[in-house]
Amino acid sequence: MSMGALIWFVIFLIGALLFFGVAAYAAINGMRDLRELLTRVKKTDKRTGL
Amino acid sequence: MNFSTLDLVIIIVYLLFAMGLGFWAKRFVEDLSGYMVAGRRVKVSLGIATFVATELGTITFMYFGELGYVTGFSCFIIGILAAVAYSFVGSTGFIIAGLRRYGVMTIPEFYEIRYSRKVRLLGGIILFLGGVLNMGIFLKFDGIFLTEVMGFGPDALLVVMTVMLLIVISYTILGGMFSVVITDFMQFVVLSFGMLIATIAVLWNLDWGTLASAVTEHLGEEGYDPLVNPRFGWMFIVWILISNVAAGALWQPGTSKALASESPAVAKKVFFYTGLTFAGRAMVPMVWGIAALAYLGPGQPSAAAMPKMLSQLVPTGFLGLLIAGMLAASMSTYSAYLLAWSSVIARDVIACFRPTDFPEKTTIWITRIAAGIIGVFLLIFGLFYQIPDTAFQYLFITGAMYTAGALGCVSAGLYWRKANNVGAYTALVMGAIAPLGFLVLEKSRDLLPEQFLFITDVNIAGLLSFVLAATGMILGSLFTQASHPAKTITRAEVP
Repeated sequence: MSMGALIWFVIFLIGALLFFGVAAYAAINGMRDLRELLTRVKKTDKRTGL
Repeated sequence: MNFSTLDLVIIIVYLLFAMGLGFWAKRFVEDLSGYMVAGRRVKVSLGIATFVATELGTITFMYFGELGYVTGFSCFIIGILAAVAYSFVGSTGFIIAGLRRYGVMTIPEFYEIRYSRKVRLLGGIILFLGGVLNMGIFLKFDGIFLTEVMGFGPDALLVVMTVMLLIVISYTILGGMFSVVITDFMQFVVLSFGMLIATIAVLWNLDWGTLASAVTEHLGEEGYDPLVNPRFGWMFIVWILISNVAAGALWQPGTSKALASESPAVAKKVFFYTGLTFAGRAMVPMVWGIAALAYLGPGQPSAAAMPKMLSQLVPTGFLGLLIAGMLAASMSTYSAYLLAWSSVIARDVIACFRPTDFPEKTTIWITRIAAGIIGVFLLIFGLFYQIPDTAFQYLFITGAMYTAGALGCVSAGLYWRKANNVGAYTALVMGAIAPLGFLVLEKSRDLLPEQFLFITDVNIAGLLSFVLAATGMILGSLFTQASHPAKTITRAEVP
């Protein structure tokens, strides 16, 4: 394998790790944010009667 | 071909679930802000998920896969440029923090605060045209993907795509940004999983050495060095870097995620972390495209090669999950784009013909009707329009129609006190000229005199749009300071 292919491999690896790493983080914590968002809207509904 | 009944069942169950979730979200819409920016309550992790899902459609996989197939590793530069640009916007808050502080829902709304209602109207029209033309090819490329992966004929495909579009239009029309955020999150999880499966399947069958050998054999040095590859070069790199900064800060479907954030600080974090994913977002499908070159060899239709390879390498069952992931990606992109462009036509074009805005309920209804009409346009345009160059370049040139002028108007509006109405008009018009010239003249390249041929080079037209817009803003403002003094924003004008 040439040096060029090796360099692009390392860059790809970093890019892919960052993508799937951030995706895993956002998927786990996003669920909590989503639940909170919907709960707050429901509370607003009760308060305003909408 | 590995597509089976099991895969079909997975896809149908997924589509029904997504539809149910989208309709369920309607109950959370309380008012216009709830409909368009989810009440501005979106936090960091949810913001990242919905932003990534918006910016990842099947079209994204298709154009990056196509680039990987025709240019090898050298196209990885695009992923690096996108990551640098979006992380820059996120870490500095360039434009997005300012826009979020003003509390606008669409970008042209800022034009009215900083310039005038007429500038907002012109900006709204250009944004709408550029955005809808940009979105016009999504359906076509999704079609090519599904045809190749599922092995259905083109006729069945048209039906599948129409059904998918109808589902997305209906839940976006009813639930607005709440539907977009909730379904985006679910679709983000499914599409990330689908991408992981496809990448493992590809690299399991074809190791990096095999990919490198194929690139060396079929593309040579052009497959490794973006400066040597004739599709890229310095002009392309500068254009795409500026374009990514502009798109990152000002592309309505993405920026609406910043505008929906809880605060300017949350908006910055969402953009920074999403920026980190942008290298992988590009390189993962590019590797699939390179794998298609190694597996199928050159000479295949460039857009169809990647999905064709996936249909043969990804095992039964997993193929259904992958397609569900791709459908998820498409639906989340369609819904966010539909909402963005229909919001713009309702608030920044139709409403601007009146001295005051419509009541909130009327705006929501106009937005809903506009989303339906845009959906019909997508079906017709996508089926009949033949794109020039690669899909990637078409998307960036149609995007430049709006982002070039918008970058001049918004950045000058936020950071330069002398920016005035004349500068804004000039920037918007001059920014749109070069891309529009490219789209029209590219079809009649043979009839053009030699001195005008440069405009049919997509990279020149793209870069020129930003140069012309910036020049228009600076000169237009400086020469007319006496007759058109720059407006100062008062506290009362901030929504």
